[in-house]
Amino acid sequence: MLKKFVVLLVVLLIASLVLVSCGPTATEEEPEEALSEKHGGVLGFAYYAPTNMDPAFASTVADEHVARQYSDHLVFIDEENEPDVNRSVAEDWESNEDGTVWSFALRQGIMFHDGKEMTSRDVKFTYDRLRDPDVGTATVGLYSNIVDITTPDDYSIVFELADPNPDFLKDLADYHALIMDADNTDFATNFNGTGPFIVEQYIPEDRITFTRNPNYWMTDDDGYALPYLDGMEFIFLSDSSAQVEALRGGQVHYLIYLSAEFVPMLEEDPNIEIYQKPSNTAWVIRMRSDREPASDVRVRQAIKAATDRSAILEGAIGGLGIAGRDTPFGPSYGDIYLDVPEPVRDVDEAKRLLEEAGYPDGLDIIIHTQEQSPLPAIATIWKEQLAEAGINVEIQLVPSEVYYGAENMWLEVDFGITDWGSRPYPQPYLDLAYVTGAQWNETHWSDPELDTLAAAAAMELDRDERIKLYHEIQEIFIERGPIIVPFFINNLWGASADLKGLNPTSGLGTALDLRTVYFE
Amino acid sequence: MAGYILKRLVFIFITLLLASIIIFSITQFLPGDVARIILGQFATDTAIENLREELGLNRALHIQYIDWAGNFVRGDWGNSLTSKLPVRPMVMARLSNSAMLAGMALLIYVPLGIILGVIAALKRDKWPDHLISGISMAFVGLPEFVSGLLLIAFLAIGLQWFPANSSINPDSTFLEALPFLILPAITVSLTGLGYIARMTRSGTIDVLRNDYVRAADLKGLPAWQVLIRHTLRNSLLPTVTVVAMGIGWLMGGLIVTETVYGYPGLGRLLVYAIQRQDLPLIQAGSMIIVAIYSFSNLAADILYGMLNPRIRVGK
Repeated sequence: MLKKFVVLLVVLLIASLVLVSCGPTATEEEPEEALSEKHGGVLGFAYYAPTNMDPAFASTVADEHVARQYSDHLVFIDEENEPDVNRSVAEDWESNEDGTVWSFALRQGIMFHDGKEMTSRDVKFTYDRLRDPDVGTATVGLYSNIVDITTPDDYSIVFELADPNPDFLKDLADYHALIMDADNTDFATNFNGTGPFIVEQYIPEDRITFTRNPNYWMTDDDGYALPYLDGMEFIFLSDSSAQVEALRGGQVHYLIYLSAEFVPMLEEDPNIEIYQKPSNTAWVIRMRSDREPASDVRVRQAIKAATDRSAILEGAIGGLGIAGRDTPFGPSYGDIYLDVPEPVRDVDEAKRLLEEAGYPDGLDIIIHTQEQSPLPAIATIWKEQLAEAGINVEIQLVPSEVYYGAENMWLEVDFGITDWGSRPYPQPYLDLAYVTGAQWNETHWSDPELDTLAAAAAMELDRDERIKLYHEIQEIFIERGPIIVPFFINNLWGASADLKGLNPTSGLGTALDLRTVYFE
Repeated sequence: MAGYILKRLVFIFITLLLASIIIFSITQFLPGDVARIILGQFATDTAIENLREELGLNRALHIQYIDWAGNFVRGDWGNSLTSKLPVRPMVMARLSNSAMLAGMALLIYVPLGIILGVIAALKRDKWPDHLISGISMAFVGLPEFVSGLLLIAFLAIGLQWFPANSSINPDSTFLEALPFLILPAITVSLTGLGYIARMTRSGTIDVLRNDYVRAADLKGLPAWQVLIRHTLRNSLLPTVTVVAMGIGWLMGGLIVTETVYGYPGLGRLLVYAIQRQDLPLIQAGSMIIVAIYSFSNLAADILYGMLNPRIRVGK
């Protein structure tokens, strides 16, 4: 009897051995170039699985992560949110006086992984595809200002704009805009790029492996070839605890977008380094302003007065961020940010405003938001704060697929909490969500003064003038705006202590630039 | 016997057919749209419409189903909608991973469960019985994400005996994968052990009451011979069924364990397919799991008959 069990088990084992025993063996080729002593090592990385491998349709962080390794940007945005010519495929650029014609000189001798030289034709192809309404990527609107793209020669490319655009270089660095091979016919399966790493193997919902690109164009300060790493293995893990355990166990070396709850534990681990930088990522409590009750500015002001932002920051994410000022712009934008003191909570003022607005006995509202962390915590703390001012909040938690689903709940409900990610510059927040009739104007707010200022800021080439406009815009938000920003969360990255050369800042682009990363 | 097996095979075929229709229908009611999922929230309607056309999602439902079923039977399992890669190698790779984990787990929990069950039965209502029954039931009730994370914390991070993450390389052999299999296999075994031990215990107690066991005892046979020759052969019959049910569970139902350890098994692939509404992948994955369930049950019934001639079916 027992024997039969053993036989059954052995058969199962043999079956699995047979099934897995066939696999290819790799042959290594020694590069001849002189390599830096920092050279070597394979970086392990864990994150959720990508959803779309075609960079033009990238919609998740994982999509962007993959694309940034095997391809390059025409313009690279650095740690200070400014274009960095040394890390860009373009080696020089200039614009005409009124900022409507932009010319770029491309580096010569940049090779695609398949051996083809990259020329202006590939760059033009990339941006033409991204602005083609028939292709229909999310960037069609962003690049609608481009009238024409011309290529005077193989290493020059000229963009003609309808209107001046002070943010044009940053627009070109949009995360979808990775330079693609013009002769490629399927970007979801053929990953031919110019980037520092070559895709070796992609196994959906399992992993993607990269090898070093021995012909990469960029060198370090001492003239040694980049990247330093021999390769990378990006494992798809759909659980944040599993990602963190893999880092603690040494199977992976780098995690992006750490959840705040893991930070205290990881900080105690001597083998792990936490990188923390302010970001502009926020969970925005937004009030629909075209119908009652929040159409009355006094109701919005009352709700704002009843809110204690620092308490939400502390309670929801353990203080790993910066309290907001109820504007979409955070302190990571430097001098664009209007640095005023945090609004002080004033429950009596809230009650007075409510009474004035015709709600002497208080107010009942329903807030909709997603059930993922830290949103339930934010909603619960806020509910308790508002209760003291006589505002009774009912919390409705729904899955993300419902909140952002086909019915667009996030654009419709009276009160909601919506997550807004960091962007390298502030203008898109206004154009996408706050000017009258904007595509994602979830608050349905319409303020003529804001519209005028936002339109002016969009085209203002003079930096000081532009900052002044942005400050006025933030004052309007603070005074009568439709949103409460409890906090901007810090971006948190975790890495093995022996992994050096990382310089992640608020933008994902710098966190995922692994060209100069090495093992000590 | 052959007639019986043939009849069962026909039933399995009908089961698979019905399952494929039911799964296909259910996926039509999932919220969201696969084209929207592939292209992202912010793609234009034109792009969505183009992709729907390209993927053949605009055809009538029954045409889509018949098309899929016809190709599936011919061995063409289609391409994944989201990654565009062929479904069959994806599913087969996961199947072999799941088989490795299932084999490892069975090796741990079946012998251990039988031994513990027999001990509990022999020491019935004494402290070893209470200890074994109590602990094994506690383990059955412990969720895998708790036991898994505890095991990682103690054995992988603390003592560093095993790797904390089991994302094995796709071309690993069983020996290469072995260290990565142990922790997930232990996690799964904690759940499986209790069932086996309880089944064995009650089966053994029933058999020990029989006259032939007492006769063997009185005849003066050593206790171990009574146990192995005369008791276990009969007392393990219910255990066979539990093991067979376990194979189906091990191959397709270890979603939590696979997620906690990042183990690339069939269960996780299926969850991923459902989240992305990747129809060919959902269909192929669930067909495999339904087939494994059906065949392991058939195997159990046949084995049952071989062990116990009294319940043999057919002539």
